[in-house]
Amino acid sequence: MIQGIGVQSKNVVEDANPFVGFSMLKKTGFDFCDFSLNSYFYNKDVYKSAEEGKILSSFFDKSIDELKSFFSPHVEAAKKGGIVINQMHMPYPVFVPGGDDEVNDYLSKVVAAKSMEVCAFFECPYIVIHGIKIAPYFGSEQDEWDATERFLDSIAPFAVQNNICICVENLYNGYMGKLGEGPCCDATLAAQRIDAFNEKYGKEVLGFCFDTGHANICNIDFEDFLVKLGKRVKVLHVHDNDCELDLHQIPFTFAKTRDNTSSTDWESFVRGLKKIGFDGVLSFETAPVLTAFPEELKEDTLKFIAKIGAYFKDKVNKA
Amino acid sequence: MTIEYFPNTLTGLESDEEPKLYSEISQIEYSEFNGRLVRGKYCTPRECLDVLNFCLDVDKCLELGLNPVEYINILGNKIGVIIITNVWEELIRAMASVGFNGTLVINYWEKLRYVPSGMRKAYQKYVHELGGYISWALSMDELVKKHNKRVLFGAGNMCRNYMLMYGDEYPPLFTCDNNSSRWGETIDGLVIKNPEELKSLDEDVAVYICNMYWDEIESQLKAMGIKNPIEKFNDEFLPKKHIERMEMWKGNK
Repeated sequence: MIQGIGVQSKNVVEDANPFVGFSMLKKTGFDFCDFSLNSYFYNKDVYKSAEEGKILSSFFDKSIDELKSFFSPHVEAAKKGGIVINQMHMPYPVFVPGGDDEVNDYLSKVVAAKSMEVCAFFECPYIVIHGIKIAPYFGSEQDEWDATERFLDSIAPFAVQNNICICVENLYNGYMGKLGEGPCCDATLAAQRIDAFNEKYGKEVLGFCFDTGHANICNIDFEDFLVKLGKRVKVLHVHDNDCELDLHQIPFTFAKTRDNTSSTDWESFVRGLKKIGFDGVLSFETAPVLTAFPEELKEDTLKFIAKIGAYFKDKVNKA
Repeated sequence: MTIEYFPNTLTGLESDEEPKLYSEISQIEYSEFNGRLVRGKYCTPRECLDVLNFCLDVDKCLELGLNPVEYINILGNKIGVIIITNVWEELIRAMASVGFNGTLVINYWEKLRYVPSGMRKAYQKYVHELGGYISWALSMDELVKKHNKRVLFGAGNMCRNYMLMYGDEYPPLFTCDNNSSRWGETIDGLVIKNPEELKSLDEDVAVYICNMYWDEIESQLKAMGIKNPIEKFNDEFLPKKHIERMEMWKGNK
């Protein structure tokens, strides 16, 4: 049974008064939240930092105590507002190919380790990370996974101690003039790797985050992909696009024919979740929608997203 | 490796539907959902490992968000046919890496349709020249092995790449360069000499031109009266310089 509906904190929960945002989430139909830790070192700034050789966000320079103190109001506000933070997103990427060595070290060591501490402080059970994207620059997909596994090994002991499950998500990458598959797009291989990793640690320390938008860009058959991963799918990033760009829009938005039927196969998504008995949260990664619509429509937009979530939930939970 | 061109005539371009090439061989399969393609069978390279002869349609791969380089890396010569419409550097490099010895089909059917009829012959000639260039660039292993003794001409990056890729197994006696300020220097352990020194080479020593002005240098050598075999070395698709970068990164972590 699906536990409930969630959405990103980004563009809703503000640091100045997090209770307002969490209350809005509750009011608009959400019970869960994907805390956007990545917005504290935005990925454009990560790339720019690696390119310029200087760290452009000082947020993760804070000590662990300072970070805990900074996020205490968020933790309290979520509880008070009746929102469970079930998943969060680590800043990404943790390695920029060809980027400055010191910046890359800072990303993979300081930012990652402190993100794990923040995750534990929030008592959040899942943290989503991006696998390292190096295949087009340095080698093969296997080299890419080896690099990701070395990174995972650096944060897994903390995850084991703090009952956190790290989730790798299916990503896209650009090559030969087009977006296509990136890390973790082979479900069979991902399942084998997750099992091997968890066996190494004797605990379910690694899981999968299925990202519908990224899968759509890569023309992946949702049902087939979900079934291959089965119970390893712990969290979701639900969003839609035009199959070309990573637009993070509301499901059912795009059509590719004059029949005006959704070009994303949401029924296949529902069938897949049903088949694997997914019992997590239907979490929407649709923060960009909230900047696309006028501020005055934010609550209505959130309500609509939650309604789509309720529709999916109903379909999946139906016997 | 053999190269085929499609179409091989200048007729039959009227049809709106492009003919499917090598349909008798296993290829990536897909279905359609509301105007978009959805992956089917053989949409991961590991799924194709048991296939004896696979046809990799690069455009279809890209359309389905699949990485054709990964197919070549994993399947190597289990791929019998590769169909391309564009010369992607990383793709050709991957073919070089695995020593691809199947059939490369250059499919320019779609492009040719939009070429004015009066220019189609010229376009066809260009495509055939392009095929020849790829074939030559992918034949460096055979070219380097062709002679027992060799010297290089050129003391720049192409010379370095020769040394990186083949220097240990097929060491040159020396290299030479037209830039007199570099004579007597060394590059990757090779002494840089005056091209005049080539006149005293034993007749079985081949000269490998490691400079992209191959034709001009070949003319220079002939004008100097050099009778030794002359070969044109091409580093454009050599894989090792990229492998080295990978090793460097692995070593740093």
